[in-house]
Amino acid sequence: MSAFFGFSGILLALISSGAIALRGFLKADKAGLRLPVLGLLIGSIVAMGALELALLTNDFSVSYVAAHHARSTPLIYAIATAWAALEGSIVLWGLVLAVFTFAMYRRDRLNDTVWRFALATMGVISLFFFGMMATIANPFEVCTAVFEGRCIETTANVFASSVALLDGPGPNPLLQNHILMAVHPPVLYLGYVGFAVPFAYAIGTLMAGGNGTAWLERTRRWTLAAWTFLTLGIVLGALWSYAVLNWGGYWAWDPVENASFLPWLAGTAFLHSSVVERKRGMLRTWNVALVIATFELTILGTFLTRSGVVASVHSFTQSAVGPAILMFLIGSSLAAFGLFAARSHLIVQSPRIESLASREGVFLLNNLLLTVFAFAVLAGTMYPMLLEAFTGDQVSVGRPFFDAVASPISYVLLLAIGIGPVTPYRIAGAPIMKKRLVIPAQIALAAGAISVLSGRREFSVVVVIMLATFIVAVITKRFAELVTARPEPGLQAASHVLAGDPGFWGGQISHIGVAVLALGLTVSSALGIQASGVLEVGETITIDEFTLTNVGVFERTFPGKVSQGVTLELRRKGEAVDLLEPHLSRFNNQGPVVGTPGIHVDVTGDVYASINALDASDGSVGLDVSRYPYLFVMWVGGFVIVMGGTFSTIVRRRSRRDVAPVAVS
Amino acid sequence: MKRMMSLAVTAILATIVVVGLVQGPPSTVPYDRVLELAGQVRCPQCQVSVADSNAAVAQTMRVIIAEQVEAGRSDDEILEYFVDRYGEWVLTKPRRSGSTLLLWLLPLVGIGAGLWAIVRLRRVPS
Repeated sequence: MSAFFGFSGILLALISSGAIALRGFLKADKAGLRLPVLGLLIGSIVAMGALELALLTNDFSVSYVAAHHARSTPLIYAIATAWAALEGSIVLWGLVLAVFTFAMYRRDRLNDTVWRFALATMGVISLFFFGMMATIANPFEVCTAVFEGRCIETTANVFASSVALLDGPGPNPLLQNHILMAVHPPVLYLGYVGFAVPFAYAIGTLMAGGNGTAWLERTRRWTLAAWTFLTLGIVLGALWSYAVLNWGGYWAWDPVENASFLPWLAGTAFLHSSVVERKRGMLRTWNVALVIATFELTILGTFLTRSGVVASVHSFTQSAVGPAILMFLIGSSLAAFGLFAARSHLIVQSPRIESLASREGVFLLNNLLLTVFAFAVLAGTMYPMLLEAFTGDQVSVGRPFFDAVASPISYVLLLAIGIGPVTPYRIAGAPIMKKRLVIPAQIALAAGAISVLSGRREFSVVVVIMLATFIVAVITKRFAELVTARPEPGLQAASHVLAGDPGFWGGQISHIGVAVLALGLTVSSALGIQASGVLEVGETITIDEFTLTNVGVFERTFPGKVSQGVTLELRRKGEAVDLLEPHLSRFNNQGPVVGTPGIHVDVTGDVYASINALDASDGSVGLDVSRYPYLFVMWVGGFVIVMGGTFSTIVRRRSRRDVAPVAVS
Repeated sequence: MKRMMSLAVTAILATIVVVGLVQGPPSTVPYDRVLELAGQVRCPQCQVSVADSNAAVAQTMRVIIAEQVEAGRSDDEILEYFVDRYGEWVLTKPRRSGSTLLLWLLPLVGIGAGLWAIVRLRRVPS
């Protein structure tokens, strides 16, 4: 039943996508596009709903359910299973795309040619994704033969007589071990797919032969929302990696992490360069190129994570999906950049930059650094694959390479974050820059001096402490000046300043978040320490000012899961502070053992304990223990970045009449 | 007078920072050679280095590294030991020579191209 509804939904969405593309490219008004847009939305909702229905009703005649679900899977993970494997994740992708297409249809006020072509572009993208669902990534195949508890034959014919397993293997153990798994993929997809909207408007503008900056204005909030979701998705992914993967870290520069970071870098560059175009009319061709690159990087990310090119928790299987996405990546890149090349002469020449010592100049530096960063990460990620394809040589590119690239670029970026927001447009004179920067620079130096005098003399730590302090001081000083210059009382003045330019101030909140994140990241990694050993019952391991004592092993049985672990008493300077219970779990008596760390979270730093060996007979455990000072600060920074993006997206600029600008000398 | 004070404060603070940095970190965080090397050797079963993995083979390789460090072998000798057994593939930090030299040059090429474009943007009149 659910297979029938689900596949019908996919077909409806597929046909509707084709209709949107055709009607959008040919000639249609808003009324002419109404039916297919609704069809796409309803079809994708029905498909997702049917998949959830099949999972929640234990319908093991559906191939996806038979392969990825078990009766004992707890409700929340049963729901999340709908996007925990390849085919289902594409259904979710399609749903997000459909919702965005519908919103573009509803929210656009102009309904002009650009909009029509933009919708058509969305139609082409969804045509591809629903096309995959209807063929090579169909989650609604019907199981026709079972053997040894597995579905071995399936058919796309939903009317075929089906055979149902009594129970399935359940989702990938790693993916049913933490609640974040239910949240991270949808959030990331909202970010990924969100960048399709400014991309579609850019393509629409090129096709319509327009050259205006209007497409940026129209997609400003779309871009901000997409960027905010992408940022949150990456932070949640890192948090999941830290809390679940049991290796003691949160970011390994593995291709799948890079896949989400690449569009983030390009999208962040685009966010900044679009400001230059909206304020000063510059960088027009560059913005179009950048948004195309951002979109194509989201498709590359999908390819890397969904194709099996890289073996990791994200790449589910070897299937025809990989080559199909690769073809779409190549095809859409050629089409988009081809169109760009053919039409870029229509884009009006930008006005000339007056001086590099200006806000525009700092934006250029930002764009240079972010695009080179993206380029280097892309090169590092693809190099092993390309080298092997062309020469057969096998090499690895890992953390040392990425760290070597990321550190210097990040230092300069942090400096630019500090200087940029208070640099005037056109030409920045020395007196005004001195007035705005000297005191923050002195505060930053003072912070560095305090660090050095208190014994923290690691290069990266001192440099980042100074840069982060500088950023916060510059922004705080500027904000305080603007607030005190207003006649209203303090709080009211503050809210007026913020609401007077939410785009700018949301950006500054995010900048403070970046500073805080950089601080937590640098301190926790530079000053982090590790220890490991085998503990008999009653024995103790020491790390920093902490001791962990093995007070006994345990075994617990949950529905579909058996966990073995150890209870560790954590003492700080002899005083008991926490009980940690790192454990190893086995799901449905199959698959690999999944380790879960025991983590003591504290503002001043985490203690992270993971089991590498456990002997239940005598109660001895092999432990890896890490101490990460101020790691908590990094997560706070991540969420502050997201808050800034949310602020800019949601808060609307108050009109000039409400908030009269007050000149500040 | 005020300006002089400001300059003096800046100079003193800068001196403290520079002297501190030149002095280098105190030995509270021991430079962990084993961990540093483990970060440069890839775990044969996974995507990441043996420092970032707790797979059984990664643990074994960390022990091998620790033993060789103990035995007084140099970093290059230890890395070479793994390259002999697993090939270039085992290095997470590709060498700055041969087929991976290009990779290290690419970011520099990117910076160069970008700077050139910016300078050009400034010169070309509209």
